Amino acid sequence: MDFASLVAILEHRATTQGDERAVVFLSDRGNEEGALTFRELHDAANAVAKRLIAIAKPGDRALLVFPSGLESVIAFFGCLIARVIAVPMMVPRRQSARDSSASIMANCKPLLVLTTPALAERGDLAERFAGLQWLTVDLTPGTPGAIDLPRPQEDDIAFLQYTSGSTSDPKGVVVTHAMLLANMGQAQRALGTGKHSTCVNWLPLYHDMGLILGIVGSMYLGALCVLLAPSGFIQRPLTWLRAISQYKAEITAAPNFAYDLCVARMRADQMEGVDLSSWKIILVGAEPIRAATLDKFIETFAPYRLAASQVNPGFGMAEATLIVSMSPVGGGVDTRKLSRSAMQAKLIHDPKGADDTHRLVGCGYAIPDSQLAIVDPQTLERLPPDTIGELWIHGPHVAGAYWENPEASDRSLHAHIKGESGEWLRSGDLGFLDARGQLFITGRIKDLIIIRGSNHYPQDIELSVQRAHPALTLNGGAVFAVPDERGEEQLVVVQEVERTARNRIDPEEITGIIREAVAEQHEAFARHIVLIRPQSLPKTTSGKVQRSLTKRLWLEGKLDYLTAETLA
Amino acid sequence: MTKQEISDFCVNQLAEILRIPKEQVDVNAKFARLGLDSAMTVYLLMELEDRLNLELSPETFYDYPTVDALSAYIAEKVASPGQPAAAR
Repeated sequence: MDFASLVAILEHRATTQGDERAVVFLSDRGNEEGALTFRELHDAANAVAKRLIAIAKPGDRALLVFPSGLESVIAFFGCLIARVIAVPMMVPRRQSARDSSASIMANCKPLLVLTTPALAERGDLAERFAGLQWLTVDLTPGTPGAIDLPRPQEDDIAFLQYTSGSTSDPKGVVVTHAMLLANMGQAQRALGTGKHSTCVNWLPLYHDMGLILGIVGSMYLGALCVLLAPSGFIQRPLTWLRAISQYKAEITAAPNFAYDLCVARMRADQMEGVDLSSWKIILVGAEPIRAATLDKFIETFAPYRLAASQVNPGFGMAEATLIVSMSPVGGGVDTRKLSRSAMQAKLIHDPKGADDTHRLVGCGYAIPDSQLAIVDPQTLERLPPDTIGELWIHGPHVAGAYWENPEASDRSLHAHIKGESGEWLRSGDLGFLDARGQLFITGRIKDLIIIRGSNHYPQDIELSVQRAHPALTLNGGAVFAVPDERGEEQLVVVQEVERTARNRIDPEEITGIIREAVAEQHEAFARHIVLIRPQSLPKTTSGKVQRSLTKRLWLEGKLDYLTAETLA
Repeated sequence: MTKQEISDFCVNQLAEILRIPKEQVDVNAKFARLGLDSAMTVYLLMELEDRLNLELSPETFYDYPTVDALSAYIAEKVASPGQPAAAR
């Protein structure tokens, strides 16, 4: 395909397959709540674009604050047509006083916010977005016909993706039309997808995987995208599988936890008549992939004609549009047995015995027209196969910038391998390539914590903890994650208590307050909360919190406990 | 089911979800104070729906934010004539 932008593709689809359905939205029970053909989507998006250009000019930023649904898809394409830069964002929770929305707004300085009429009524949102212009998007049909606007150029910005970056240092990946078309083309060539490749997506549309694989990918292919609300999936994951069967879907993507959830919620009576044989590309990514999860998922759903060979582990990140590596279609899950103890020392060895065996899931190979390298994060030298280092990525899908953040852009997006030319993206993830070029991810350089596919920055959670009660010392806490016996990441909060307060506080009350703050502001469960004596947290001489040292001391039980409230 | 039975059921489920001893589940503590995130709330909701054969909206947990309040509400809902529990 030779198109300069997603807008050109939308127009092409509206012209050549206008009566075919582009998007269907399902209720939590799996009933169709609404649908748009390519022409209807095109016309409705044009209507939004017409309203947009009356109040905004190309390059202005517009927040997209929508629950999953057709409105959000219309608003997204409306922004693209008007060349207004879309900024998809999670709908802020009512209770959450501090979340990422404020820092995203401070970074991208939006002119307007697009939302549904229902959300526009919410008082807390009116307050949060005070000063912005509002544009509500509903399902009123648009008027047919083209719009007299210049089409976006290849290098025009389509949207900003704020999935990476902490609250204190938000990073909005600048996603251009060229990057989107490049990455979708790479994926299409690797996967052999086409118009027939119906996708069923429950991932939120502010998440790169949901928006790009679901909406952008389906538009690129001219395929149907069936949408489910994320909350509906969490509540009734089998609805996802039933929809895949009903729509004969071919492609989906989801994080590891989704497959665990399907197994946990398996009910034979809800799976009657389900046939998963159309499901050819079952992408797994966005958080560490566990071999045991995939084994169980395959075993549980094989009776419904799920083919093990179609499960496709991969690796992706917003800085590379979305997809970085995928497994060969039909090849199934490839695992490698390694020594657990050697891996902790960042070395690749054969296991010394059953107890020492870790089965690592292969994340496939670099997508076409791209390169992967493993680089020593200190010396910046390229490392040979089977050596653990930082994953670096090169290709037309790699972003050129974070919005208004030149330092982070230079550091992460324009890196150079020692003695070589060419610019690379530094992923911040640790892993290795085997002799055939298959990628294995072993951990992370940065302290990023990933729980159920959501990124959490320790410094954000630490700050929420310290703000929760005056007895908790500012810059006196460390948050990290440790895997539990099932291999799931569990949050640990270590926090100093002020000298003046340590004899007066009720530890149980304080840990409750901390747990509440973490749950409400970060959607995460603080399993272990440890209060420690003043000035006993490991820090560098310059006063920087040493999270990995704190983690080691906690694991060894060597912190200076005030109380040891661990719940385990 | 009586309010007490529903409350005991919630406590058992929460102990399992949070992996803590039952004695540590305070029936008068807000769910957020126990540390429940929204996914965990949904797990509890699903277990209640399965056990009691009724439908609950996630909003219920905001309106009745403790085990005690929630079980009182559900006990009334189960008992109240004219509003039979929805069939699944």
